[in-house]
Amino acid sequence: MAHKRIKKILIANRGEIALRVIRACKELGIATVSVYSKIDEHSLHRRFSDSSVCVGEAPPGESYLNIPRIIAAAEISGADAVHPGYGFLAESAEFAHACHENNLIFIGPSAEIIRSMGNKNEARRTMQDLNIPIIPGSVALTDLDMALKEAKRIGYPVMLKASHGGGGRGMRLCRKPKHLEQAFNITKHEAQASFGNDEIYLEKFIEHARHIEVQILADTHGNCLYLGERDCSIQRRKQKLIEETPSPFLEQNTRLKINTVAAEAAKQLAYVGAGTIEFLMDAKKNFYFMEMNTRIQVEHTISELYTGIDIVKQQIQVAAGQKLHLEQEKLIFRGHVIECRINCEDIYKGFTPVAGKIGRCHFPQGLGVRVDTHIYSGYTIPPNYDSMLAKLIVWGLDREEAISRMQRSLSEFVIENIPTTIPFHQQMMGNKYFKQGKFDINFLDKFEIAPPKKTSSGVFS
Amino acid sequence: MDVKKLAAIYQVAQKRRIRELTIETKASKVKMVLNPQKPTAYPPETTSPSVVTTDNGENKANFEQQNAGSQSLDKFDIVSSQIGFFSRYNPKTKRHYVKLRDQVKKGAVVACIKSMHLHYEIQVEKPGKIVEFLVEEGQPVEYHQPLIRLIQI
Repeated sequence: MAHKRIKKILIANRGEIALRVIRACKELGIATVSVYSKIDEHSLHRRFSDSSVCVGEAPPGESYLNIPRIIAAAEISGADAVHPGYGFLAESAEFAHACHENNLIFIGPSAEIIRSMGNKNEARRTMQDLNIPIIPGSVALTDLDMALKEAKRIGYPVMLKASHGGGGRGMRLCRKPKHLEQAFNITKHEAQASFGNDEIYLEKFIEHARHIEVQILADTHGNCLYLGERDCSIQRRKQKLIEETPSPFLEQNTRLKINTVAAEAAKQLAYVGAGTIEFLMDAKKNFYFMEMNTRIQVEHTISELYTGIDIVKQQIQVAAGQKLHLEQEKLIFRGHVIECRINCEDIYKGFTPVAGKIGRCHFPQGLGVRVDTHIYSGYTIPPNYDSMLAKLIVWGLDREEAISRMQRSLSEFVIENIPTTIPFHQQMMGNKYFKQGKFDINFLDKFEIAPPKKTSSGVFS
Repeated sequence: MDVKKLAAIYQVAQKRRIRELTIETKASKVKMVLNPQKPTAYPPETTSPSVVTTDNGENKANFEQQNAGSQSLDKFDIVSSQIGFFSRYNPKTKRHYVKLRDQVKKGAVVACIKSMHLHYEIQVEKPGKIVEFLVEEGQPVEYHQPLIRLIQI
């Protein structure tokens, strides 16, 4: 593919990721256009971009998710490429297609790949064809007899799931045939009531599963690299809270295996750009494909500190048709990196998101500390978007140093007037099991949050 | 033109947050830019308020009528509901939709926004008289950008 010079990029996003993309563009000498909704008038991504276009009202459907308006903004600003960030339109095949139709370079994979990986069943089939292990499961179940037979074939424990369900609803864990007999009709009935379709199927239940994903980077010339795995097992209701690389759970052999398998799969798919393949890993270190994210991810930062590679810059260069100037053998993976997501959530009230005006702020600094954020003293958090305020990323020579550096950095992090997840992270960093690396994706179900400490005077008083 | 009078107008206009005004008499023309628009994608940015006068001597100012008193309160702007290029030309008739000082009824089309080969017609929400075009022909406009100023009738 020939080189296409990118001169101006429109960033179809907001918050810290929009700033992250602006930084990469500035270092590459590429002009930036930001889009913003009316409520984001005083946002930093608007301020730090070379120009900006108001695209609509606060609700995402009228602004950041509105394809015709984003494309029109690119047209009037003369942008030649669009970076979608994560969330919003990042995994919309329709948006990628619309960019292409309007002669805009979409910084990401093709609309076809986005579509095929966006459909979970199709993605599973594709991966199975590429010899990537997937979680064993059944086809749609017609009756209880069939369910019992299938469960026996897959092996207990199994999860009974609604085919059209999602978000952790409409499923039941069955450890014995007796459980399956009891749950079959109830699950079918619930599936009909909740999702308007009573189709159910079985899937093997992975006990003590860990969420391990691999960062991939591929160009249009057939080169594909892996930038190491990330352990994202600390999550609450499928929302990741802490990510780290390398995973404390893996030894060198498994690490190499999961990374090469992922890179090989991406190569077979003729994938282009940055992407992530997510796996579930059981206690015996068998891993199963979960899904592929065809975009930059929130936690890409830890892979950046681990490898020293600016993934967003690479994304842009690859989208321009350039060859990756990196070789797998020459990549240096160094130290240990941890990221804590600082959200505006009240951890003492079930992590309820909070909006409102922030008081004064102070961000931690020092060796090996990185803060990616869009907030500032006096910033008003709009209620319309995601609750993530900042990402605190620390690098250490080893995991122990990274944890103590994270503890130190959290103690320096000040956000006044708004409850955040900082106290939660402080407790996690001091947790015995976390320190030992002994946790799975259900760790937070049992984790009890200690009551708030009474602080004396604030740093600013 | 009398400088004192100009100063008085300037103060009134600033109070009422009027962005730009043009005073035309038989002998002179004064254009004031008081509260420059917020920097948007493309229009050239004016960083400080400026007053431009082209005075050729005679002072027969009837401008007070236009700008002072209750009338300025009845002014309203039509803002863009779309993102694209502003046009006053009706592509079908090849003529301007409306001219300065035209009186328009509610629902009348006064301009259009071109984007992605489409034309979005801009309508007035209440009847009025057109007193100013706030953007140039072909200028890129963002969502909610004021386009045309009217006086309520």
